[in-house]
Amino acid sequence: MGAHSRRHHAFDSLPIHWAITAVAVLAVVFLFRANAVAQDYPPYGPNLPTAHFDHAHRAHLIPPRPKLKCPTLSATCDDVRTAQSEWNTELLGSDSLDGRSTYQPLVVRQGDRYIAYMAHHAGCAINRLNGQTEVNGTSIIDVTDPRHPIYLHHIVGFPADCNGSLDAAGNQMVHVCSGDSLPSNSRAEAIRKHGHYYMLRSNGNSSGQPGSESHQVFDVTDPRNPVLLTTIDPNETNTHKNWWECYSGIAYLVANDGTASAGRPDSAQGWQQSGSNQHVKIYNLHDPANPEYIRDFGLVGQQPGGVTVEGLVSPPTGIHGPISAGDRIYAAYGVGANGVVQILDRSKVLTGCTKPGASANCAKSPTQAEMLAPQLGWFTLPGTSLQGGHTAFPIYGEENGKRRDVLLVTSEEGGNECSAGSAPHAAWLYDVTDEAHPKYIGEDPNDPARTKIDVPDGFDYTWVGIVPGNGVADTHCGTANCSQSGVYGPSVTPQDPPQPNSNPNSFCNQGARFGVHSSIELFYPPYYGKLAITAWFTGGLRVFDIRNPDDARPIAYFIPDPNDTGCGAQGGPSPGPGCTFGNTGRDGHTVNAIHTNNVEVDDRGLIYLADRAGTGMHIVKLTGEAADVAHGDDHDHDHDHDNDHDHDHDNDDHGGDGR
Amino acid sequence: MWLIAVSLFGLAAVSMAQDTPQDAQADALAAWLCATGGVADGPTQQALKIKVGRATREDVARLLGKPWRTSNDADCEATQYGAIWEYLFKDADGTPFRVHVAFGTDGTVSLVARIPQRGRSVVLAYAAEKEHEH
Repeated sequence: MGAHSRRHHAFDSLPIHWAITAVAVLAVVFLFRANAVAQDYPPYGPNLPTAHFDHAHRAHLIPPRPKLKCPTLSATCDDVRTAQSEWNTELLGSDSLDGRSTYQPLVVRQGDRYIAYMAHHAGCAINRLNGQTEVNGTSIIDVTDPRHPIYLHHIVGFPADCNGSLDAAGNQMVHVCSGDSLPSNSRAEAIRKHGHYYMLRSNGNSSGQPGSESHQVFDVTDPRNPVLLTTIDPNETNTHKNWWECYSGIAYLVANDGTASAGRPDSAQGWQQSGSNQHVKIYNLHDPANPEYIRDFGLVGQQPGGVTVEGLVSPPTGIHGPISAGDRIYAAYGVGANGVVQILDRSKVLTGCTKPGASANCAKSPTQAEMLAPQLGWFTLPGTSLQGGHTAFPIYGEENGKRRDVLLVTSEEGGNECSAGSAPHAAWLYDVTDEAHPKYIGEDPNDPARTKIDVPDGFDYTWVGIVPGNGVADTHCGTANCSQSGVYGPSVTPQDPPQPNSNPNSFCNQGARFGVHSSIELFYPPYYGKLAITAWFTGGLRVFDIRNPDDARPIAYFIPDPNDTGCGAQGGPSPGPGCTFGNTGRDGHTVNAIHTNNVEVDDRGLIYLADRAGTGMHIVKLTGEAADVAHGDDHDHDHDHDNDHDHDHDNDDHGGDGR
Repeated sequence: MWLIAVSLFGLAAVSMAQDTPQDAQADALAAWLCATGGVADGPTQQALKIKVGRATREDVARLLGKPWRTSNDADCEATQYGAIWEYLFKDADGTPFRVHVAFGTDGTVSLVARIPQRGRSVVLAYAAEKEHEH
């Protein structure tokens, strides 16, 4: 099934009255000359770019060493941290975000402006706009001029003040949809939403029972004055990485229902997980102020009374977050361990509990068969129990005129300073053209995680201190060495002062985590199928050339400078000698170094970095070879080994499906 | 005299809290104390009074007041993380620095550090390595 037909199937699931009203909506949109839909591809629009893969042999580039605060450590210069470092990237602008720890960046085109929504972890800091100490929530920044970001507003998180524990707080996840993209059930609804923008955010984190978390929807049409519209399922626990299809309204909310939610129409009790305690609750938010519950879903065995028949542990690991595209949903489970990735038929997920013959309580407590019905395929990861499913980003494409679909999967690094016994967490590419039989590709047997999408821990880009380690034996990861994965040995983290020869300074000496966390999730055509853009914690932004997915290679990076000068952007009122939090690694080793948590692109191709250690937001653009790859201007591969053609110039760089 | 007293307290805090001696950290603390000429600034004196493994948020607030900034960067299991409190101070010559207080999963202080505007942080005391899981 090609992307084109996948898109049509996506709308097969819509009720017939929606289809009728959709025509009316289109008419209204035309009549009102609505603001242009910011983006046409997921999650904003239904179009799917087409990647043009090749099999070219390209030189593998060795990234330059990062710059260091102290190029040579000595008694008078003992700062082990990396300084701002770039390779095929250029810093355009930054904002301290008032020193708040940040999880996710999201940049949306709202009319003629670009607005960044920066989603924060729990904490408290001074809001530069009012001088008040506020619980971390969501920072909103105008980044229309990326060299001069303008901090517009901070939507406060909960609880209301900073006294006491914030263990259950945080608003880490965010999505924004245009009211003109969302479908409507009536002309009145369409008119009401016309010109508006809506923000969905998770609210709270890991509160435990009885559950005090939720998802919130704000009207952010005026980003300086967001208005809370509604709170969804107010007694959730373990909210996490949600996904909102702006073209259909369908929202996949990652959470679990707390006991306090029992009795609510959308409360599904009794779902079970190993590790991260969360599954998916699906709503239709076409009218964001009036959520419509659809069903709960997860990996078979998570449902109440379910039996685990897939994956590495029982009950199955919880989901980190889904990504939907066309008529598919890609669900990554396990986060940082016991990873499983599942490919789902979106229509069957959405309509499985309303079709004739569905069990009476299918939405909240589906049968084993109802859990398995939408599943098209699943797989575990190289390293099995040592690696988790964090992000699964689909790349639909072709090679030599034949369909070729690829899935970029990341794990999440969880330990600070390369914890002994833990695997270096990395990313992998799977060929999912045959969805029932995903095939692991681009294997590097010399890499601890057996992948070419990895970053060695040494500043000279060689691996330091790796010893063999085995995960749980399994046959679903697509390689003959499924359980094998190198792990960090007991002495990989340099002691202070690092010894130049035996134990040199490295990415394992930066206080915080070193390893992958996530990839971008926006389907940006110029980069689609060409670049894998990932966040690597102390390794910063990491970009890989994946035009030949069987032979991915590093192509760019950017590591921000730790913020040593204060939290207030442009001389704002937030005081202090520095914003970057200290993180603690082995033996109490504390370093206020960079901690790039997530990265995302906007539809200008700029890349935004969010820092978990409070360093703020950095806006970079690709340059040099990386820009050439994106623009199809490079011709650096060996044509003698190119099986067919370089399709770069054929790519649909300016949006749209291209099919 | 003050140098000796502070050094003994700081080193005691380190050795009391950790499972195994960490000579490097102790050396770093001793070196920093020596570098101060034996006169720690007032806020650092207060920070050195924080008892790792025992002090609670309330205890820290009593010693240092309300924090300037806090963070709890949990995103899967908050109970595994604990919080960080930060304080802003200036030393005698007006150079700013931060006091960093990390709390463990049991709600007691696991680490106290002094973070200069530039250069290496000095761990004043710690209880156990903080391990992030997700």
